[in-house]
Amino acid sequence: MKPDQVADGVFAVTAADRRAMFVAAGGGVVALNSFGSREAVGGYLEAIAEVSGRAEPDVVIATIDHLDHTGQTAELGARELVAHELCATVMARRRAPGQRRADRLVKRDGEELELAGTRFELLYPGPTQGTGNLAVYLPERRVLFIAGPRADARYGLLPDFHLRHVTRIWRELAELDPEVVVPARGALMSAADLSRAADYLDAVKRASQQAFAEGVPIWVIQAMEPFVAERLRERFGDLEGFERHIGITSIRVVHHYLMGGWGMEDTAEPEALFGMSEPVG
Amino acid sequence: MIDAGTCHRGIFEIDSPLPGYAFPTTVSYRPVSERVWTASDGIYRSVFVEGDEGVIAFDTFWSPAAAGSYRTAIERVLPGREIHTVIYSHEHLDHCGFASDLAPEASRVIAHEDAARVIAARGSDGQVPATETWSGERRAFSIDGAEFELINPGATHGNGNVAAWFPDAGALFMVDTVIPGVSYTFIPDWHLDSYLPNMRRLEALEWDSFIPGHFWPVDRRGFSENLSYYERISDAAREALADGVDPDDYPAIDAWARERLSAELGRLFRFGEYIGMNVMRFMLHHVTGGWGLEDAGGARRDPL
Repeated sequence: MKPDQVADGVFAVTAADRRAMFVAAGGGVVALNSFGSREAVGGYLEAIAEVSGRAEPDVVIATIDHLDHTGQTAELGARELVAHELCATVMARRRAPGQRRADRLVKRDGEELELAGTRFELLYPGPTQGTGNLAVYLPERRVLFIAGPRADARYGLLPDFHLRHVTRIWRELAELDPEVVVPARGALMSAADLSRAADYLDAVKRASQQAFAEGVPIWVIQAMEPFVAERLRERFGDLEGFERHIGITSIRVVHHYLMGGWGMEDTAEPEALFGMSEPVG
Repeated sequence: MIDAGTCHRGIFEIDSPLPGYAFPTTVSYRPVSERVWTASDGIYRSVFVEGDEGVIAFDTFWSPAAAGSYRTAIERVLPGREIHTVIYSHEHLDHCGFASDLAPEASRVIAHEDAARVIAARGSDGQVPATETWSGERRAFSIDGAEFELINPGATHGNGNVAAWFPDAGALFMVDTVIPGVSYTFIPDWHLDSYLPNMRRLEALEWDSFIPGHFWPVDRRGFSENLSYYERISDAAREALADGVDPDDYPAIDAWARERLSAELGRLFRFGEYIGMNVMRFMLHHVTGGWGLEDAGGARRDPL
């Protein structure tokens, strides 16, 4: 697994379509996420060793609860795992082998940490994808890491996306003006790419609502796909995977409007979840 | 007729008229017992109960127009009776989003607290917040001479999704859980981590007929076989992942599912429409580990 330097002391590592990131600076190593398989986390440790000469990171930040990104954190052997309080609650309840419990919680809308001689802004601007999904910004390097957005249209079913808030939050993060956006899936992005990802999902939302409003049988992919694709192709047809994914993505999105969203994350008061999560020991 | 330009709009964000919400439906009905009736537009289904004085309606159907059709059906069966109580099975708009159209006169709107919390925070146009909530797993109700019990078996689908048990009718009503045939589209907002153990708890109750929120009632065997289907699709999803099928690539998954599962499951209602989406949803569940607080460690195995 080859480490790709994205900024001074900041390295991205890719396994198939998924990506993790680590910072090797100031004599320390901080790893973001772990991948989801033993093979991939082994390659990740080799990449860390290649750059830093260290067998394991000092600190791991689990930016999201999903196993395909943080399902092997126990294998990284760090002294501390940091996660948002909501992410930590899900991980504790899930008890997945290989997914380590959090040692240190990031509360509510986030906090700033100094790790490996580097400032880490751990931002929780609201529900985007998964639970307690942290955007990690390195202001000195102008690097933003986040799981969710993609440079392409390969969103499939938008698994565990919270459609009420996600695009607003991506735009707010783009306003940080990062030089590099490191997404947990797909190609590296710019701030403009992140804004365009928000534009794309908003366009899918509008077209899907239009389909529902006009009486398209929204549970039939053969009806939804051409209706939505026709409206978006001119503006977004260049995105890789557009034709293959737009049908299933629009089916997912239109059910947001049919059902009203899923859970407190898709309401006007997602912060109520803070009071519903249990302390993690 | 409902005006597509001025009807309740749910959570639509676009400004245009909503003819899809104003399209009239035909709601048929038939008795379940002396007091309990079931109503359906062919896709959605609910129940309503005759009280001594008025009517207790469960859910509202899926649109302002469908809610109006549901009201018309109730008025045909029980003319002149006021719908004084609406009970929400859960919080989704397509079942419980339009009490404003069904029964603006209803003085009691009852929901489990987990559903009521989401409804209040959602602020959907046409969805009336609960006036009365309950908590825990079981609550017996006696309303206007009608007696029944509401049961929350744990996380299954949506938030605060409860079954209504009518022991005298030998009937159990629950929405968006057991549905005849394969599951609906991509199994939206099902909590797959705990769905099966929590649903199996309902088998301990005495009932003969399960009335689902879609299509037609099933017996106890149909209920059990439907739950077993989920076990099979969970396994099939693992097989697809082991075969290297991309869990984000619907066309590839659909082709795999048709080839591998047609002989075994192809007889099931709506297999051709949804088998690919059903498998895709379970593949993503296995890959991600589940979606949200509701989908993590919520299985309850103690008796109801």
